[in-house]
Amino acid sequence: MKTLLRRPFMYHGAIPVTLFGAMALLSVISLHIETGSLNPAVILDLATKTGTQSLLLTHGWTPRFLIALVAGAGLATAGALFQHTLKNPLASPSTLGLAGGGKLFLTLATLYVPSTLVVGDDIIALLGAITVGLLVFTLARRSGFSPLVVILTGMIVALYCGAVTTALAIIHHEWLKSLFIWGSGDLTQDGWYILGPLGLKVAVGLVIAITLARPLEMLNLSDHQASALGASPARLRMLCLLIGCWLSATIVAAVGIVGFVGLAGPAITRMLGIRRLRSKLGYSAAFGAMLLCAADQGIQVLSAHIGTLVPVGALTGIFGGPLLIILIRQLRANATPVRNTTSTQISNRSLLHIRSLLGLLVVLSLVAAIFIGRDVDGFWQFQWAGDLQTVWPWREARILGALVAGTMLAIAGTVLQRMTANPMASPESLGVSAGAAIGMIAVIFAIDAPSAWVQISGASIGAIATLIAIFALTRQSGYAPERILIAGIAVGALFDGFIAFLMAGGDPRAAKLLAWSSGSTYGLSFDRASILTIVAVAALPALPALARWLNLFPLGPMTAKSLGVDLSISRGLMLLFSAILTAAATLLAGPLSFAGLIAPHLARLAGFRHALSHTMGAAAIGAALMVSADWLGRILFFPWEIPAGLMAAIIAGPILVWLLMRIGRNGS
Amino acid sequence: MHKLAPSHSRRSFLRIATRASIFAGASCTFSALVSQPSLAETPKRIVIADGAISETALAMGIVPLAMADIPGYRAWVQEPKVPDQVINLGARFQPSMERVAQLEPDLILTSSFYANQYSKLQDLAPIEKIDIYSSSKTPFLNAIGAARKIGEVTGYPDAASKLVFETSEHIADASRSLSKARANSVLITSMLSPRHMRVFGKNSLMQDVIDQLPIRNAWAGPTNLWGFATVTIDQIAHYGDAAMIAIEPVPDNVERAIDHSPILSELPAIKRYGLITMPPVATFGGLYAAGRFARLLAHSLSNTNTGNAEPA
Repeated sequence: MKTLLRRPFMYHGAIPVTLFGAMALLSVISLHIETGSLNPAVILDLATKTGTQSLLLTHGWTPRFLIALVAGAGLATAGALFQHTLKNPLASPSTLGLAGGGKLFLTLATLYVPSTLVVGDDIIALLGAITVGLLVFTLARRSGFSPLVVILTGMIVALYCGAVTTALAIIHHEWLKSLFIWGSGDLTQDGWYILGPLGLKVAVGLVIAITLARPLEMLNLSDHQASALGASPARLRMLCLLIGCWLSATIVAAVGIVGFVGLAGPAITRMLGIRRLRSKLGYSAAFGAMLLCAADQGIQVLSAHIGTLVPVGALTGIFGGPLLIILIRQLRANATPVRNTTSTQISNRSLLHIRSLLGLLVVLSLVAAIFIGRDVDGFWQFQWAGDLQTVWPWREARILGALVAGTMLAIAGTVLQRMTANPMASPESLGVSAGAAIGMIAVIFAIDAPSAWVQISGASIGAIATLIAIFALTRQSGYAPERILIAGIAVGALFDGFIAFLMAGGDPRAAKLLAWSSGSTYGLSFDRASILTIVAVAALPALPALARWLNLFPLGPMTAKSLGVDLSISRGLMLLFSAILTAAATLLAGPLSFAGLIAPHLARLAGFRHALSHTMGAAAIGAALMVSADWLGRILFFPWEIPAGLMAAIIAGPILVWLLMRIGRNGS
Repeated sequence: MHKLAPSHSRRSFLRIATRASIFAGASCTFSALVSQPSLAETPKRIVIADGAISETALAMGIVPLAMADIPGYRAWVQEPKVPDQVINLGARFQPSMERVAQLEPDLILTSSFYANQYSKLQDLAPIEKIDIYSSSKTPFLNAIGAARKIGEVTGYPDAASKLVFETSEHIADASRSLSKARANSVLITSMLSPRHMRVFGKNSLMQDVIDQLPIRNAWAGPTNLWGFATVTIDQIAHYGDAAMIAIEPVPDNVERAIDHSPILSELPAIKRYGLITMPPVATFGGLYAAGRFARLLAHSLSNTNTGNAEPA
């Protein structure tokens, strides 16, 4: 591993200085707003007096300032630890799904056992985070905490928790108002009772991490090298993950979900070319603390001028997204790609069986979706003739939409995972779907009651603009996969920030958006479904042309290059191909369809290895998954609806975990 | 704290508008708002998408065949009660279209906010759009107009007049009892956590009702189209002379925090009056909610009231 600097350190030194300057300046302004003075004597006098203004200074402003530093430092350190262990510059405290677990537990407690909230929200959230952490650890232990398995299980568990939480939020929107604020990470304080315990816990985590930095450094070596030096890579990885989990779980429990700092802190550190783990941890902590504090102080300066709550967790996404995009130009992600080593060896004969099984699954899901529904009293019914005729106009477009979207997303996901050799790649990580969603948000908030077609136009413009931006930003690097994924994550963070901000403010339009943005075919018209189907089908013939590249790229870009592939052109075309499919699928079934992440993995685990058969297998799985998810989401809790994207995660998540476990047991 | 002069012009305007609509009758005052019913006979199978419209219709004695989010209505709106036979359509944002189609409605009532979901049903049944929260920002007048229009399209115009009359009576009663209230300015909140709340102001139905009462709403800050702002505890710390009213349900952790949170327990409003709670009122409600709010507000601020029970 070698970090190449494109510019001297002095140039990059401007970043920490700017960051510190911004934090200091904003803090001074917000202190002035709070106290009406900048004279230390006056402020000190105020702090020692009683009365509302003094109370707000000593029990509001001060602990808030400090908790931003503590949480920022802890999250960024956790991010650095995860990136180090998992050898992936995209890993962050959210990779392991701890925050998702906390949110799920809080949601369940609020809705079903509100009496348990007496013990305190933080305890419930911590329990959720710990449960998820234990689950991921149990699943990953067998593989010796191999980065691939940890990332995959973490992501699946995170998606699963997120899917259940969002499904509940759509149905019980009103009950979860306060949870939306927690979920968007507001740092307002009303005393020292949160900061005290949190400061202690984070300090313990930081001290342990920095003390153990030297032995943990060995994770930079290959497993063989580390073992030869007498270290146990599995144990080291577990230790490193444990410290990261400790930090992120305690922070999320205390202040709610503050994303992005855990990604940005280490990213800035990497840009500065810092290589030793101990320094990486220290610098990350410092950058994280300054970032979060600057953002939070900025909010306090602005809050007088904004009519609604701006939680810092949401804001870090909204500003952090573009920041990361700017940083991409200077960022040289040099992580070794995590190879998909967990594919199964399978004979051609059983592959044939699997192919027929998949075909059967697609047909079965279609039959179920078309004919099985609920009658007017809510009883399950095989619908035929008149019964079917009544509901058919509302069913046909959705089934077609789910079928096409599932297929397209699975194909796009397979292409992206092969091209980037990164198991975290999915159509969502391209940013196109988040771009579409941002376009949709803009239209919904700019226009009173926009029609469906206006909304779709907004989403299309958003998708196209994002695609152009991503091409422009990554062209110089020859469409390097890391850059594409980071750009995609940045757009995704921007979108998540918007949604979190809107949900926290409680605007009813946000709830409307939540339902669409969790992958729903609801309200899809047959015209729209047909047009997008034609677009998607027209793009398909390009697939065989890409097959050679798709076979070579998983072996690494160097191998492909030595065999005469023009990296820039091939990557650009593959990117364009998957982006078109993703955009079409997003307009059909919303921006969050887990089919695109899960189907390629399922297909690979089922034994499909060559590019074309892998893609086709994934396409069949994606189609069956989305059709059955849409069907179940429509009728399982009739008349309540669970969006297909969420249902797909709920169905396919456990299957994927089970397959991963099985392979782990076979000794991979 | 300085005291703002109550806006007399707005207040009397609302009063006059209410009375005018009672005595002048619907057809002249709100002829612009009311479209001619396109139905040959009185609709019997009515489907309602919007909470405020459901509430208004139920208060007029009109029982819909089906409405959206009944469990949510029972928890957050409560009154008037939804009879058991009313069928649930599912989430307000994504009602089950298959169920609506199966029910074969002959009239669909919705607000523009939810209208998109139903537009495909145009061939199935006439759709009437009724808006209370709109860019006109006069929810109380819109609520009267909504009741009138519901009466018109369902064939019960008298029920609308009765509801308008009852509401003005409730407001007049509340006005009388509030003239000797223990606080003369209020903050109407919906608590979310010990540090966060929604506070209601301009554009809200509550603001329009308070404008007709001898007290004032202390919150003059910006609000959204639905008449509320989500704020943090420090933003209301300086409203010393206002009584803080929390609409139920109040989260458990807020009640507990009043004892141990240094800022919450030291808030001037809470130190002086305590946290006054009020039974659930539809915060984005219709005309019935306006009357109910006036009644409950008067009760919670009356000098004799120490508990928080709903008036009999």
